[in-house]
Amino acid sequence: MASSKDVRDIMGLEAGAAPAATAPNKKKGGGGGGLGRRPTGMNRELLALHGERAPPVAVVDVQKTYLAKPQRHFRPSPWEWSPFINPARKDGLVLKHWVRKPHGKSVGGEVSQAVDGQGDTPMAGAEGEDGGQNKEGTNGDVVEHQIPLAEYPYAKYNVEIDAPAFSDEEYDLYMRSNDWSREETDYLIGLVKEYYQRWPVIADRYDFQSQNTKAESQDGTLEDKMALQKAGAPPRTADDLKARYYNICARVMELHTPVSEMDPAEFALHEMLAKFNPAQERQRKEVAEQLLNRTREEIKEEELLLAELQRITTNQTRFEAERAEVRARLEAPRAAPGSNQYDSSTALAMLFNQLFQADRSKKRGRLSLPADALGGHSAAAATAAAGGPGQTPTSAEAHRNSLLGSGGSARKGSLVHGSAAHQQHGPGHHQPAPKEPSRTLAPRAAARFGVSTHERLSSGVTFRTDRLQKLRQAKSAIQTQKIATALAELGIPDFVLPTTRVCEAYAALVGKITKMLDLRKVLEKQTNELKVLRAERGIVMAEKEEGEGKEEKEDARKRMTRLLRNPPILR
Amino acid sequence: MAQGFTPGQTQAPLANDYAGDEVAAIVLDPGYSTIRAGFAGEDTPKSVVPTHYGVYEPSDSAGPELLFGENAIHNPKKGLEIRNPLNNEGIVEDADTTAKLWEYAITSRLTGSTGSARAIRDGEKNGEGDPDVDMDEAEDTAEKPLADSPLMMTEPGWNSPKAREKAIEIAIEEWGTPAFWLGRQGTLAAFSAGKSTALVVDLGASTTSVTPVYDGQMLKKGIMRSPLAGNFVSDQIRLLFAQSQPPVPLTPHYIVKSKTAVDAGTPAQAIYHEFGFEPSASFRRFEEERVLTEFKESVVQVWHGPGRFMGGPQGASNEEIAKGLQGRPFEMPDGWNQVFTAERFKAAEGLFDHKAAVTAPDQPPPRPDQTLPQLINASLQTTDADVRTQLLTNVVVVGGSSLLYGLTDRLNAELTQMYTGPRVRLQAPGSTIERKFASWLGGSILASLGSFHQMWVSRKEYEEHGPNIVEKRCR
Repeated sequence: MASSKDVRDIMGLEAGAAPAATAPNKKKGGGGGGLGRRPTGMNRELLALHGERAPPVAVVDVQKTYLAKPQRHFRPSPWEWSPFINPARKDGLVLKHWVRKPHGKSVGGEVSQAVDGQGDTPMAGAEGEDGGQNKEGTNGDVVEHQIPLAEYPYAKYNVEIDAPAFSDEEYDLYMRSNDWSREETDYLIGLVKEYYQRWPVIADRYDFQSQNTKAESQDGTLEDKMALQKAGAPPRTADDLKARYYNICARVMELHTPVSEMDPAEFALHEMLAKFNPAQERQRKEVAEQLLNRTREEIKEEELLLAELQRITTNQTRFEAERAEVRARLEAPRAAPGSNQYDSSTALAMLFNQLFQADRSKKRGRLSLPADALGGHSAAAATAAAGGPGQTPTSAEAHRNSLLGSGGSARKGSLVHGSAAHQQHGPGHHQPAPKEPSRTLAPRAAARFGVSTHERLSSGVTFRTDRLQKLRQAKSAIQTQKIATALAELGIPDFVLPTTRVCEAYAALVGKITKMLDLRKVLEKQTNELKVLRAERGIVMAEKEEGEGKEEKEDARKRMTRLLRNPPILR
Repeated sequence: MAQGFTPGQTQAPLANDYAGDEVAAIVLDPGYSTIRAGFAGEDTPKSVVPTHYGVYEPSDSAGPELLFGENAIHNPKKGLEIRNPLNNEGIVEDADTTAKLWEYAITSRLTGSTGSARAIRDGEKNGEGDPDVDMDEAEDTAEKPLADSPLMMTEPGWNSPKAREKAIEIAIEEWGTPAFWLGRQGTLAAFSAGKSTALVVDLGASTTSVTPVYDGQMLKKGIMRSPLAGNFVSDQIRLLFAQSQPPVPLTPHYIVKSKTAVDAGTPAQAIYHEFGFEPSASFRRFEEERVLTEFKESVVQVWHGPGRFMGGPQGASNEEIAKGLQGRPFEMPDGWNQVFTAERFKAAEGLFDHKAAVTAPDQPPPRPDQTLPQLINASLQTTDADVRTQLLTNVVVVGGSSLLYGLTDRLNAELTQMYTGPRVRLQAPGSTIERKFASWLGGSILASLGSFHQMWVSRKEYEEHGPNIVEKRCR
């Protein structure tokens, strides 16, 4: 290593007092640096290079700084390793646990209060900071006389179940059973208490041996005992045990309160206990077991069936809803009488008169309103009339005419005709041409666009199919049948697509058929009449040969009356 | 009396009442492979000690020395035998050693030095020094290892009453615990999964068990167990290694000093340690087990379906399909390595299909009723139809061997195939610790609950009623 001497040598400086100066420095530095002259944090070799002079760069003695200790404004709460007694225990076992030390109080006192903060109890085995001291204090002699008698918060979980209790006489009187000895019953009740009515466990541990057998198997193992039990009577099942226990419970309840004096809850409980049926229970378990042992295929099949059922039920509701909707449409209520009362021509005429009277008495400007009420198609005329100022009388007249026209057109039942009627009046009164030429349609176009005019529209929805059906119906069943045969003869199918034209043709056809049937009837009648007459004539001729003219006269009168009574019906 | 009495009605506590109240209880969960111990309320056992212990008998010393703990038993020493105090069903056979082992598990990491004094004393006792009366006197006054802590121990559901009484005796008389409780491993495992009703499938090292738990109580008659567990899989791997052509050499770590990389399937080129003595067979086997554990963790996989490994679709074996799948390489401690393809499925298939198990003259095939699906079925058949559906929706899979790759998926497939009607829902904790130490965890939860402290069997009660009280209280 290069010392300051070497450096001096290299730099051509005189090697003088320098070693003498550095030597004590080194010693001081080695002595612990208590004087503080030697900067710390530098290598010895590096320091040696400095020589006498101070280094050109100030060597700052950097001290490591740490974060300041956090300022806490509270004292950490002390905990102590304190003994406690669990009141659920009868033997007064003293155990110790960590509890928060209440301020200004000694170990005993308010343990229960402190225990409330148990959630953040430190590890019980660990030594706390001041716990160590407390341990010494509480460990030995203090324990004996300074045990807190405050309630232990977990003692409340020491639950005891109420088992039925009875005296010997009660047992002899009410609870005797051929199947169960007193000894075994007591054993059962003890087990039920011991295992808190957990029946699977009770049935599992049930291992009753009467006194004589007990003695010999006392020190045997579990296997021995089980073997012994197998050798004896068939083991009792959980259901047998339950049945016996519930029976006893019910009897004890009866002894305490007669059945007639029980309140509803008690009575229900008593019913439940008294009616416990081990056979039914056994059957239920068998069924449950079968359910458990189903194969995969069976499960799959059941699932499929269930899905199918589900589908059917959901669809059924949907179908029914749809059907109900259609029915509701078909059986729509007739429109209110307000709009319905002007459907006959007389009614319309009355309305017109009414309006006409109103028109007279009221101002002219209001006239368009009832005209509107009459029908939409006259509104065009009304606006046309209002459009020409200064010709009020004529326009009023025109209006009246239009009203008349509309009344007439309403009778004719055509929108197109209405405007046509209006046009007839129009030129005479210098009326402008109607604004809706599209309303006038050639019959061809009307047919093409399916525009139809109706004299009278019945409200509500009807099906043309129904109309066809109706056409086929006659008043009498015989007639209906006859129409049907005629249609069949003509080769008309039962169901045809009921377009308007088809309906019309159908109606015409049916009309013709009816007429034909009537004619046929008349013909038949006349033929019959003729036959009768001929037969009578034959008789008469025969009589005539005998020569009697008076009777002939009478006969003719009779025939006349018959004919009058039954005139041939032409419909 | 009968007035306010309603059968079959319980009321759940309010949500904010599920608070814990920790009393520094210690939870001890002994298993065939490891013993877990820790403080209740924690999420991991602080002390996990192998159940295997070493019996070291140096030629110069007079008496045998017992070696406990991971650090002591893996050193090859002359005359070191490795033993397990439990029998193959997980029941304590050697009660004295087990007690020492348990104490070691507790004192080594949890309660500290108080135990070590006792360990020294034990050493003296076991030695030829005659029992010192004064020491015993002194020990009563001195702090016992568990004087401060209540102890919750776990046990398998099929534990014998004698073993249970022995446990409470040791805990209260020897360790001086103020309160004791014995929990069933199945029930506690269900608690660790947050369930009070569950079908617990516990795949341990020596035993696989199925425990139906109903409302926090196990159903004794439904407990089924079989030896098809972790050790069985290890044995299967051993057989596979022995039967493969050429045989796979199984070399434990301790023999190998250094190794060099070799190609797959070629003999290892390693330098081996010279001990100058032959480590005992039990030691070697124990060390081999560690290699096998590694193999199980990294290579073995449960056949994922469709179908079983042996019976594939249209009679063809799935083995052919498995051979086409990507294999997994494994390197022995001495450098020998190979890619395993179909073999890795074969090792674990015996758990599900008894016909698929690898057999040898001295290792008969397992019985069909020992396989996992049959075990579960047998357990469920003992229960009520009502309970069965509840159990099937709460199947909890725990235990170290359940960590075999793909085991839970396969089990789920087997169960859904077996039970087509009811819904099967399998729950296996995601984390390894929760899976391996499920029963400990359940005990930790239970013993840290404020409402549990009324359940402890206190020393006073023990003194009044004797060890038989454990039969009455810990059911």
